[in-house]
Amino acid sequence: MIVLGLSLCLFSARGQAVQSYLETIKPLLRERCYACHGSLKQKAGLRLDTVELIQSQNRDTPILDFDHPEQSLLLKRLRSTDLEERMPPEGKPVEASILSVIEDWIAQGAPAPPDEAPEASPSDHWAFRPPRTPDALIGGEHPIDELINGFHTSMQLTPTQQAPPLLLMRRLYLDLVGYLPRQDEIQEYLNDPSEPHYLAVVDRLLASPAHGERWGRHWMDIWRYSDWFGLGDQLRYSQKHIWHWRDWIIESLNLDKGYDLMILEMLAADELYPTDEDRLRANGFLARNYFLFNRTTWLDKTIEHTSRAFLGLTMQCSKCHDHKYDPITAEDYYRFRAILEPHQIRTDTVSGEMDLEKNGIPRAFDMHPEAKTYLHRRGNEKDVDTTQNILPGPPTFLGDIPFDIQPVKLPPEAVFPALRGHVLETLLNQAALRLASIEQSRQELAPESNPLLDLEWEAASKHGPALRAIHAAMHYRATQPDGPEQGTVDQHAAKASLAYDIAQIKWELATKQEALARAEKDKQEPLVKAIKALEEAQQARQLAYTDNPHHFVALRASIKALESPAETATERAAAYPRDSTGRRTALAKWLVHQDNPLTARVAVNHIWSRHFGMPIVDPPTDFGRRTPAPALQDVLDYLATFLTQHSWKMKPLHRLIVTSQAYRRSSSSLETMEDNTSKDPENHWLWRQHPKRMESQVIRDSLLHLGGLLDTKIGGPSLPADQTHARRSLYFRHSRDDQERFLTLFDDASILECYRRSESIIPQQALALSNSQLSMDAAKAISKGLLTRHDKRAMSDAWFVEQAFVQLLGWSPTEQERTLCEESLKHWRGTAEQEDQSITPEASLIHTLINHNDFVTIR
Amino acid sequence: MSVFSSHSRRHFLNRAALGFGSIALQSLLMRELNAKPGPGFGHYDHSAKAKNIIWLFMRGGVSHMESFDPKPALNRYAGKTIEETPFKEVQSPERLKKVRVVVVNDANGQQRNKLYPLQTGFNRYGQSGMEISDWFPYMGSCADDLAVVRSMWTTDDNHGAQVQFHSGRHMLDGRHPTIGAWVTYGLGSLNENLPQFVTMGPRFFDTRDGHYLGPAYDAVPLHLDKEQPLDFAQPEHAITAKRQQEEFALSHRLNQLRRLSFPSDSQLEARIQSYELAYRMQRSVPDLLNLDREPAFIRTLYGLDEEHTRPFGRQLLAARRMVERGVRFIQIMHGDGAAGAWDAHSGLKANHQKLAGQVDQPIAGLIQDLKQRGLLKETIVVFATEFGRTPGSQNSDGRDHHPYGFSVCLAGGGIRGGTIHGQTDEIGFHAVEHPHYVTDIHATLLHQLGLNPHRMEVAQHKRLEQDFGHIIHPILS
Repeated sequence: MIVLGLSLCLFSARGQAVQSYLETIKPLLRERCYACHGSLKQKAGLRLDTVELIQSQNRDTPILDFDHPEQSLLLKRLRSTDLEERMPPEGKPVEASILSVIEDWIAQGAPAPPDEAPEASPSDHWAFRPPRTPDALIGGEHPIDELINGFHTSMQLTPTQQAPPLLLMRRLYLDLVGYLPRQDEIQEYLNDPSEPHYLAVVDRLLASPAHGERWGRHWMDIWRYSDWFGLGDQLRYSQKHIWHWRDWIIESLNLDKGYDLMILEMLAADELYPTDEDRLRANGFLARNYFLFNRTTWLDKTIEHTSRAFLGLTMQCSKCHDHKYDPITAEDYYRFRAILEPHQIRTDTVSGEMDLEKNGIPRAFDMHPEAKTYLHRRGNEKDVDTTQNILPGPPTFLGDIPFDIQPVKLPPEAVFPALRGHVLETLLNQAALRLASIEQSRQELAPESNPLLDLEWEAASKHGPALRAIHAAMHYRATQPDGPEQGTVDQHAAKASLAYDIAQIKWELATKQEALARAEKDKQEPLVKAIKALEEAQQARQLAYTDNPHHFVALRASIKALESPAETATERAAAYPRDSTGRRTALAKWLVHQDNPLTARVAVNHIWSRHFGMPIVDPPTDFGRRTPAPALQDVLDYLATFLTQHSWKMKPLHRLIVTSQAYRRSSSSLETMEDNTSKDPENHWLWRQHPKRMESQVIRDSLLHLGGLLDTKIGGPSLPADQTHARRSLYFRHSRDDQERFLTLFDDASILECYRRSESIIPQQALALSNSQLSMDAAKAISKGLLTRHDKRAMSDAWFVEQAFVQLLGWSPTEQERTLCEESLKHWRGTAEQEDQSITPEASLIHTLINHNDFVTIR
Repeated sequence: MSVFSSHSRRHFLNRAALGFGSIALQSLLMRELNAKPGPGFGHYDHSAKAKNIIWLFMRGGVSHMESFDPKPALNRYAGKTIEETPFKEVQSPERLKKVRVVVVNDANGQQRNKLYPLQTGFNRYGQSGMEISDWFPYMGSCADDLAVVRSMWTTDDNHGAQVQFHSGRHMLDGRHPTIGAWVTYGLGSLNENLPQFVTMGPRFFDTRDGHYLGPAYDAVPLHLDKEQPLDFAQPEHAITAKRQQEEFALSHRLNQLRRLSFPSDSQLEARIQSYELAYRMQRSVPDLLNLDREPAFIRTLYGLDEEHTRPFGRQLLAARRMVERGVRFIQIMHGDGAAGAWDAHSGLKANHQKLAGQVDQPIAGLIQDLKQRGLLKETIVVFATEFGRTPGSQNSDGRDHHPYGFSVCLAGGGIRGGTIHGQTDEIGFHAVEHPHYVTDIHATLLHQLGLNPHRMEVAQHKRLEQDFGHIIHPILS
């Protein structure tokens, strides 16, 4: 108010009018009008983003009428009480006080500030243009540092020193493998903290399988990993065995598969690698979005999180209306939907297991290539505009990047999952095993006393041939459509399958008849019924063959996820199409195309955010026009280019980042606080590292690792969240209904969206760290480990305190801290005999330090 | 309490060593650290009429026509289809279109055409002569403290409406902060020893509250029926209280020493405080939940002597003890199962009779008890459910989900007792007079707590007009 008061005295009436334009009118127009009347859109041909543009319009009623301000079209429309007329059409009408400011301004001749510039064209937005190549780097210095130091020089910021070796190792371990290092693991570096030794640790950690688990969890956050959940046995969200996707993520990172290839596989492995089961696991990205009840919600979530995770665009806004800030129209939204429209989810068997409840790979496939996509008016799925079939495509404003749809002819094994080699093998194995077990029983018992065994053997011996014949007939049909031998192979399959089925029924009949003969009177009825049913089944089976001697039941080895609760068993069992539309492949290739300005930037921003505790572009899911060019755009662009130039491999990028001085800086602001905090209080220019709090998984994994308790087995089915185990935390089931209670308290990833973890501090965390069995077990194990590792002669309380601090907190205790801890040890030793015999004084000290602020803090 | 600007709060935190007096410690710290202090924080737009909310939510859908909104027409037209009655226009497509279906082709959530007679009688109660069903006689005795809103509506025809009633958003629109989270966000705690937002009883569709506000605004679950009512509230391993206290004291001293090296680290400061709060919580929770100390007549009042009323009665008695200790928002969910026990698709009479029997006496006991302690003035008790039930019958003796019109009642905290507000049509189908979307209840509660719903918004999460709701003034005194 003081500033305004001054300016009122200083300027003329005209000056005041300019002032009120800048302070009141323009912000209103920007907030409420530019979306439709600015550079993004010019509804009715009108732009309102400069006074000149407002005036340049010729209308019957002048937009600004200087002689009769109240007659100005602008004011009339703003003041109108007719909702069809009133502007802006949405939200509350503009307040009367602001309207009178506008009227006064017009009365003054609607003066404009000098050099008023129109809004930049949407395509000029920094993130929609290709990454800038920074001015030639001089070299000699680490490129990240060269870029950042430039800012420091020009802003006169004094960067902090490199963090002390121990803290640096702590930081590096937590970042690259996700748990604290034990002393012995970093001793070499601590003995000689030289550059080669640092690089050696970096390379060792990047090569460790634990690296894939650590970063796997990050990407699981971003890609919304969730195990299936629903109601009781009814699966409603995600898919069973989705953990295969988690394992694919971990393996891909450990193999340093390029990010581009990861995107291709997640969105389109079923089209690009239709018979490669390892890669098909990547489709879990799509399978996770499965939703039983509502196809539109299912696709909306897929669209929203595909565009936010990979493109950093908030496409969901344009579901109902053209985007208010970004050049994405509602039609663009449904074009994107059309890419996904044909796809459905199914689960195929894996080698050695035919029971899809027990194992299988959930994956995508195009089931309905003919499905049409229509625009939902105002996002209302009940109000569908069927006049126009919307064709698949990416947002039009990025239309220069090739989006090339090539339909895919799928190999027989992809269309008929039962034709995959291991299916017949597994089935034949199972049949052979059964036969072998009957043989064994026969040998153990006298043959003549066992007509039932004979019958079972009879049946079992026909199973293998039946399987082979069916498989052969299916294979023939798949590989030689309308081939001349089809009738013959079908007949053969029908016959073999009949023989098996009848033999099987006969054996079952005999079993029941035998039971009936032995059963007491009151137990006979159900057996009589069962026998009758089997006799009928036998007849029916025979009849079916007589009716059609070509008919047999095909092998399936796959099940389609229900498209909705209303889908019938017959619809669900429909054959899979022989073709795929190729739309998702086109999308994936478009995403990773060299001309796409967003994908690489968004990826490196996710990665940077996890190394520095702060993204370069914030929020990481909106690179649109609401987000101005970030302070460190040069760094972002450099890294994006670096990523693509290194075949999108992430390990070189991690290496580049963690070898920079910027990464290695101390997070303490003590030494340079006064100076820097006034110039850059939020540390945008990274004159120091950001301290972070460990994520939930890191806390638990660190406790287990330090205690030597961690089970390092990688991968496999998710483990129940309500049971204890010593595997890494990312292997717990994680869904709406499965949340591990310790992890939950430390801001575990939300399955709905988690592009960044929260870092809350709540008292329940303190309770968990002090009262959980986990922290006490770890404290005892850590203390025991330290005590056994030491040289007995050197053992003293001072030594133990030193070791405990170094191990848990990453620094040597001060004199004061050491004294306090030694006193406590001494005190506990004195009282240990009366009480708490199970907790040694040393374990108590470790337990205390686990509850120290700096245990969960990454300095 | 005045408003702290972000800067002054940070400054304050940096300097504060120990002892926050009565200031909202937990919330203060949380808001600071999540860097999301919203305009609503601690901001009283006018003097508050209430301090606490006890939120009772009947999961599954209570029949409005057999609780607080009697419809004798159902008896008159029993067995007729709606088409055959003078009310057939209630099913005109235009009037049905606001419902958003989640479960397509579900057997439930359908229109039921054959009108089903009332399964219980009604009586008039109190000076107001309010009509309440015979299944809720105890609540009837509190009629002059109750305000009934008979014209609620929602848009989800399935039990996701539970999420909707708490967040104001249809389940297909993602998860948004719940009313309890907003209250916690808007107000500080009144207590340094206990969490300010507590939940008891079964939840299903959503077990979180804060969502984009952060986990600091999630309700802290208390399980009265478990050995550990609060997760990790007692050591899971053998340790004496003395040793634990000594460990705590040592880590506290060490953290304070660390502050010398990191004087501007607000996280460190917050963690020190969080440990103190945790330590106090650990000691306070057992005392809070020690209902044995309550005199016999109080235990009787809440129905603790009877097996069928005991579980809910214990939760309500604990709720009163929380109110006394300043817990802001106590959320109690009633009715087991995924859908919720009140979901009487068949056998409605037996179902509602039994469930009403479990809650009726404890609720009335709670209201009376709060009143005799002078706490009802500043505590609002809400009795809500996700939707009503159909006027027509399902499975011959049940009723289906009904989002077009249903009832909610409130008491205390500046609510005008003996009030009936709004109405449904003659067969209880549509809310026809003063219809209220579920967020109108939120707006009313916030208003009574001295908060302006429109200030309940944070950056990057634009709320819709509907999210804020409208205050239901006629039920306020």
